Amino acid sequence: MSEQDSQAASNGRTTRGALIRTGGLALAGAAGAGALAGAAPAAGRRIAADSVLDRWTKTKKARLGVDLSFPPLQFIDPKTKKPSGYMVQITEMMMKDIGVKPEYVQTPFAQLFAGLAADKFDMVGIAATILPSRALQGWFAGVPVFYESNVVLVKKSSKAHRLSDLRTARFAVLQGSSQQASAPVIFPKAKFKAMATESDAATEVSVGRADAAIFSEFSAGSILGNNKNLRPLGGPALFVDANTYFMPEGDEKVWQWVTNWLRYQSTHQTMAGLWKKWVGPSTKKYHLNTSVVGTNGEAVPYQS
Amino acid sequence: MSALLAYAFRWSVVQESFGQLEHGLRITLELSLVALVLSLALGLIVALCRMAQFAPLRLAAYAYIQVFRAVSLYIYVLWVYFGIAGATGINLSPLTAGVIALTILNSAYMAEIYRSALGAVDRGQHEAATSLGFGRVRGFTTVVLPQAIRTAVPSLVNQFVDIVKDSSIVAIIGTMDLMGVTNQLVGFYRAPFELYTLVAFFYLTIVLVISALAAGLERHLQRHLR
Amino acid sequence: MFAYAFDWSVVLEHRHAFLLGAWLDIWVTAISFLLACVLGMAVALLRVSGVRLFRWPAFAYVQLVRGVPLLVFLYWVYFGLAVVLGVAFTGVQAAIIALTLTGSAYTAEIFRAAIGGVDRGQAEAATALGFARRSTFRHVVFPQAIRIALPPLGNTFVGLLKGATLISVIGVADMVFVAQDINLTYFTPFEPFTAVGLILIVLVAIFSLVVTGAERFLRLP
Repeated sequence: MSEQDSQAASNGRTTRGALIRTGGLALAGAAGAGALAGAAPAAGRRIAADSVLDRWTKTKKARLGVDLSFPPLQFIDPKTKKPSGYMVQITEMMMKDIGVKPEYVQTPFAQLFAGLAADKFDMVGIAATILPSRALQGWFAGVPVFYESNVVLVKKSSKAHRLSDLRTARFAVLQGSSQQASAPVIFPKAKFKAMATESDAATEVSVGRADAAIFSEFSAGSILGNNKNLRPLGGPALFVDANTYFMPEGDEKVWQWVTNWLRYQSTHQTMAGLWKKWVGPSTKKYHLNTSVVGTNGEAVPYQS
Repeated sequence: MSALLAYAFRWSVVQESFGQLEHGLRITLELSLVALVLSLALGLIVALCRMAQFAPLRLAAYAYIQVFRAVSLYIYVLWVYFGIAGATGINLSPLTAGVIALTILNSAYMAEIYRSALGAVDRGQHEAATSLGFGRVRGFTTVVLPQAIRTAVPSLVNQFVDIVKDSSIVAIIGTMDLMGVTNQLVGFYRAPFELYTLVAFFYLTIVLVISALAAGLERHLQRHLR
Repeated sequence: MFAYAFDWSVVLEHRHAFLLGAWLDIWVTAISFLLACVLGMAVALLRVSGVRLFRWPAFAYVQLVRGVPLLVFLYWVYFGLAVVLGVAFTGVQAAIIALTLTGSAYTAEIFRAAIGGVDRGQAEAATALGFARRSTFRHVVFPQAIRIALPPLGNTFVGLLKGATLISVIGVADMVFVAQDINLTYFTPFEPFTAVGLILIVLVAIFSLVVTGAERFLRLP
């Protein structure tokens, strides 16, 4: 009875979301960001008056918005019960350099950007994909912290073996993610359902509510390790996204500092080394493509 | 059914999760207890306003009760946490927003519980207190209110059970209570069935313990009546 | 630090989405409420049956279901049970199952109290007048019990309607989902969440009027 209604309802939602987001993407490409400012009223946009960098060094504390449900990038270590992972290690290195103690404000991923706009924290403490629509609401650091190579996961029993088999498929994606924003451009005829966490999106596929889900390679490794029902579609990455820190618009001081810190670490291969440590093992195990951040921030394919 | 047999239960996850859930349990209990105490106090104030002689006060209390009994906690939490912060710049942590939302919504219910309990106290009691030389305020606090509270205890306990259960909703804005920790653990272990079953038992245990304590309290309060 | 420019046009532009979402909340609640009444009545009858073998499981059921938050039920059915049973419940189906379970604990207690609240003398009088046990229940006890049960059932319906505003957490596009979507897209949190709050207050007020009317209609002359 409710099958159709729910289908219609979820279509309605994704169409709406997808329209707004893909519309945003297309516009940004064609007419530049200026045209978009009028299209998306940024009423809650927060423009910094004083630099959060000064506040950090004065109070020795930084409020950072994080979603710790993304192993192996950011998660709670079951043994130490403390935040751990690739991003946590880099963020804590950066904070240590200015003698600041990070104070994590846990926020569901989709709400991180609205959270920064509402001044729930000083900066997003994990990296997010540089999306034109997000860039209207705040500033991304000038150097990526990691590159995210997206892969498609399907059920083991699925008949799909290449992307063209999924043209009209039902996809599950993370709500507010870059996958949600970009995938409808690649699969214009597909249906998309946004889920609150990546784990939820994986469940959608394994119970058959969705035919496929799009994940970054680091999540795919962890999902494949825990969910024997799924397999990667194979082939090259669907698309690669640059991810970095997101901070309040207009705060030049903190932007300059974070950007320069990242540039320094990129030439010293810090990110590349840590990526091999945290993400390398699972991409090797499941034969997934991945890239590391090289000198000056460009993507360097990593052969594991 | 074949799927049920095919599913490989991962109960080891349960064991590994206990430590983190304990931490979440503490947050859930703190959140619920603070909200309970504050809503008990606020509810009494609203109930007294509702029964006041001064009509505007009475109407305001009436509107307060009607509005906050009609709003759902989820919408109200989103409104307090995002809406208020966005519109006014008043910034609350998820936990504070949760306490405020739970307190305000439950105070409306508490007010109605107090009102019917106060109404059930025999008028003669108050008159007797006055004739014995108690002032209006002392007559109320030492004679009427204790009797009303005794009548109200079962309903107040039910309300507390609702507070504990509803506190799970606050996890959606990012508190690391039982529910929040569970969602995070599901993200880590990807074992939704095992972990959601486990957290259901945590809540069930809290509720059963509250009910048992409440039964004891009721017996204690009724002891002189036997 | 930053000035908030109120922009209600976003809400007005999405008014159809809000109303469609509200309608979804209403009918999901209505179906769940009816199912909860049926299930609750069955549990209540078991509890008053006088047969210990029936009474105990019914008592345990009420205690168990009453102790678990609706949010946990939603996640448990939609993500947990779906994985274990291999049944791909849709979001709406999972929402109805969870709301029905939650509601049934309340309706069972309401019906039990209502049946117990009918004066014993009524049943005895009916038996004395030659009614069989079954028709005593159907024609004498049940109509009076419904009259007692109506106000708390109204409260249960309102409780379920408020509970239904949670179903967006499992991806059902109800009115709260619309509000969340607007907030995530335009970063205007105040207006959409205020709008859904007002919609809910209006719905509850209308429903309360209906229940009050029904009570008056059923009242004995």
